[in-house]
Amino acid sequence: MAENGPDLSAELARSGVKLRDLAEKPELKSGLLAEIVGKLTGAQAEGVATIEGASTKDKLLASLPKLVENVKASPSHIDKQIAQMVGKLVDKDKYPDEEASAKALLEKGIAASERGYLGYVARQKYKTVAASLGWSKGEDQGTAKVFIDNYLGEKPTNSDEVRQNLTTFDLNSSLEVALSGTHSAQSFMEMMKNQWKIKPEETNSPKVDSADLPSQIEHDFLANYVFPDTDAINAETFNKQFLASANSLRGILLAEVKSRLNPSQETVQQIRTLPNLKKFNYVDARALKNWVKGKPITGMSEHATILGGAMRELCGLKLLLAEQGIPEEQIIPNINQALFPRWEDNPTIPKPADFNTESPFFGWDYLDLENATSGTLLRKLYDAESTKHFKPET
Amino acid sequence: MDTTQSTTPLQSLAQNRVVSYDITQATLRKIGEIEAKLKVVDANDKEALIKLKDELLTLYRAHFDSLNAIAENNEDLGKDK
Repeated sequence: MAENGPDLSAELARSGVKLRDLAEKPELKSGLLAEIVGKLTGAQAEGVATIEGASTKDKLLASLPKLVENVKASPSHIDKQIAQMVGKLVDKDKYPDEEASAKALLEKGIAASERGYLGYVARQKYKTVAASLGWSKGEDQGTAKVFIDNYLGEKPTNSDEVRQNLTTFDLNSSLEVALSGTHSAQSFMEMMKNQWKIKPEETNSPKVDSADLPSQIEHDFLANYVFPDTDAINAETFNKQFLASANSLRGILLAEVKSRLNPSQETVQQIRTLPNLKKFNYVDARALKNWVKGKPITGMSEHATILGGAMRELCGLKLLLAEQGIPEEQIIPNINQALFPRWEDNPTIPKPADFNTESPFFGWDYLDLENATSGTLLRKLYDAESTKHFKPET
Repeated sequence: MDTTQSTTPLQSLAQNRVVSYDITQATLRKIGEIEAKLKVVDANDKEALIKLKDELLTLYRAHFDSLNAIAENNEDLGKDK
């Protein structure tokens, strides 16, 4: 132990690493690795002891929440390790900002599923760091940007440039880059299943520093810095297809789950707080307001990215319902209803009868739930929208 | 974990990070499966309980062993620079 020094000893004592582990792991001579391995080993030892001590069915069942807690916390130790290593690996002279953003991003422990929105915007400045980290997806870069600007107190310096670029905004390429999500519907369902076991207070607490990017912060950022004017993009054709659908969509899904599954209040609350549907709801209302006023609708990438997340959540919901033994054909009609605008609330919105019944909006057949990513889903949606979604006005 | 020549240490770190979350999700899913089995097993069926307990132990140990391996690989990536 002497060669490890007193600090490491204290670290190890706190983290629960035993001398035996040290002897077996010479690499623990590195302080950082020792800390990480120590925490993981401590959690492992704690869980193993808990399992081994459970002598009855009830005790074994009672041990599960602690095990789940330990497992859930485990990747955060890796995050911390990587965050500290990034500083060593990034070329500080070449990418001074990027180092800061990368560290901020990592230290905030962004979950893969919650990487943000401003893919296009962030590519302007943060593409180098995202690329250097292997995060080629726009949402990763967007998260870095949001975090730097909102949490580290730095003002965006490139909003003029961003606005200039927005005039030549390429929706297709934006979708390609910003929406090629990493989560398949299947993995998202699994994530949701785990999330549903979390107590409501854990998911609803207003944590500013978590992966749950507050919608208000994002909105303020977008409104103040990215889209200060509403004349940036005329996205009406793209947006109006799905702008008004989120309220009914979430409501119908919730009713569907409630009527069929008799879920606990916790589950209901989880559905109500599905992050992307919630954000979609919010953006939806804002954009719809502009549209009704006759203003162009802005923020296509924001919409599309959120829609991507919402679609993953819907896929997850659908699979969850299916897992409960509810036949798919019983689920689809109601989900289809949910995907239509609430035209009865606003006569300016195209009525369901105006939609092309050939559209993928009319069914889930196009969703290859085993393989589809949000990116492919969104591209399908976009393709439908951009070609034949609306019947010609008469 | 991709540590091929064409992958930079930073990229490998990022990949390892993703892998750690993927492993975690898989572990949580499997714990859920074991929980489901546990709930329906007869409390007096000692053999079944022991089997599930072993399954849980193996799963739990493997999870943390995997993350430890990732942590160690991360450390190696840092030394490569």
